[in-house]
Amino acid sequence: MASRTALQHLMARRSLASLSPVRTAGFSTMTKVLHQQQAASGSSDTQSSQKPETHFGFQNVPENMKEALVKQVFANVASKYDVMNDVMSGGVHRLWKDHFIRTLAPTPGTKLLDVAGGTGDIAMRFLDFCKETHGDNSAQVTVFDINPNMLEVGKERFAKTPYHNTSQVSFMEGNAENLEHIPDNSMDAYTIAFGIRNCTHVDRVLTEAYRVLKPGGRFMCLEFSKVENPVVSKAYDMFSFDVIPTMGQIIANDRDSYQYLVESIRKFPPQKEFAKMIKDAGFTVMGQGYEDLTFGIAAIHSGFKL
Amino acid sequence: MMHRTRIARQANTLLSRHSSALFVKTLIPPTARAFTASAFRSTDASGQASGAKDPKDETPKAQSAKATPEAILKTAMTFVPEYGWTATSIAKAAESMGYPPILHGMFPGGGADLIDYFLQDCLNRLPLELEGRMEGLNTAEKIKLGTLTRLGMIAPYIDRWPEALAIMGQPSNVPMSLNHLAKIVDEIWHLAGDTSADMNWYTKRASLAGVYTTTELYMTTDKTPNYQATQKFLERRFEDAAAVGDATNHALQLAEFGAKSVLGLLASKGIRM
Repeated sequence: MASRTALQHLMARRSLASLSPVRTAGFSTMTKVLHQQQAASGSSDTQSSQKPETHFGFQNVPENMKEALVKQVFANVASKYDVMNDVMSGGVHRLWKDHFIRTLAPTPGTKLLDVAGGTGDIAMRFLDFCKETHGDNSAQVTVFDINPNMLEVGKERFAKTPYHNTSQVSFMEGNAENLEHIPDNSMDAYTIAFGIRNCTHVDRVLTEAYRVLKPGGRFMCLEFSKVENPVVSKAYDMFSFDVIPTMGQIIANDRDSYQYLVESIRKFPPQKEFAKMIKDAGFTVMGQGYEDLTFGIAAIHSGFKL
Repeated sequence: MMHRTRIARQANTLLSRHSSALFVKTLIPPTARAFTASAFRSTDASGQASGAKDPKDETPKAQSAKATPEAILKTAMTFVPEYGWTATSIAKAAESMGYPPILHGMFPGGGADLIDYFLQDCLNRLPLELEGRMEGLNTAEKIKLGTLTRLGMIAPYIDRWPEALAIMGQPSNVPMSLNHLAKIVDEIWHLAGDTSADMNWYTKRASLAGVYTTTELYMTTDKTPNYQATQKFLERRFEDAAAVGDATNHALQLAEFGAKSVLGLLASKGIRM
């Protein structure tokens, strides 16, 4: 608890120093969106209760609203996204992503669709791997994201690299549940890192992934998962619910968004259940179909279209 | 290509009687018979892939073939002489079947997974190879034949076998290799009709495991035609094993005699045990 009070002190001092109109605007955007949407959809409670609902963090919201809400979250955090990842995971997310690409082990000329890859973290590692391992300059990646703000961050990052303005990297905005601009059987690999839990219909995402992959293509997903070890789980819960939202407020000026992020992690199906969903979408799964990273805080799921 | 013809010849000559059968089986392992249809289609797809046709054209065929993981590894075996026990062999196999090479990720162990598949395949083939050839032989001859037949199965990959041994010796792969070694010697003894259920069971398998591994290692350096040197080496190892067995028996008899004498001596002094 000592750490908590220290953080609160820090918070108080920071908020004094940086109290600005921008900050107050960003702070409760999500609840605002929620209210606006509810007002727009009609005020009667009976109407909204009939609609199919889905979870948004620990809240239940009508299905058609989740997309807008998630969009808002990532619009809020885009500029600080990579910094926050470093702070929240102590840099471990870099190791996870490195391992993710090593597991994918792309061969020369691989065509990758990186969904929810806005800031280009995975795409950059993918191209670097191909260059460093095979001396290959023919691998291609399409960075796909629902959020233009996140894509902007990715474009800026690639602008500083030799990949800028080559055919190796392209950006595309759209919803993972509907990859209408990507033809059937056109991709060697499909990756989605820390994105799939934000989608309203995970099954539709998987079906679309299956559709765009070539036969023999690989689906790979890096996502937060369930910690089985009770001791680690306890510590992890304390960290998630007490520390992360507070850090979100300090660094990105947005507590709600980070509150959502940690809640959405708990709502995502555990490893085995998700592996079964992948199998149900038609993928061939080897062994148990996933690999736990750091006690299962994250997991890599894998499926092959055969 | 040169490689493959040479090793095929070697395989042919090592096993005099069933040599042609072995040759055929090596190229088309028994699993192929279970999946004949898919095997045919996959060759189809490979022909198409090399022709670099429109991918849309190729898709439905590859889909209908629906290769199993075993079929991919089976195809990968044909690339081992060229690319070794590596993920590259698996990637090449995937390509030849009309799939993107990234499919090699199905086997995260890479070379070790390929070796594991090969050893399991050999184990399955051994009884078929030896069928009807054991009759009229005594146990020692049966064991010798079994061992030689099993060694013959690595002949097609002999140039790449030191590499396989190195991979099998890596700490993370040791359990897999020991497991396979145990299965190999157990299978040979079983096929030789061994039904022992005492300490013998262990000593027999342990000594054969020793003979098998040393001979296997020797074989990788053997350049003589028909592996004559290896065959002689194997015979000498069996003689050694028999000698060691005799020596152990003698030693045990001596120890027993010694113990009895001591007891007798003590008894004569009036001390009863």
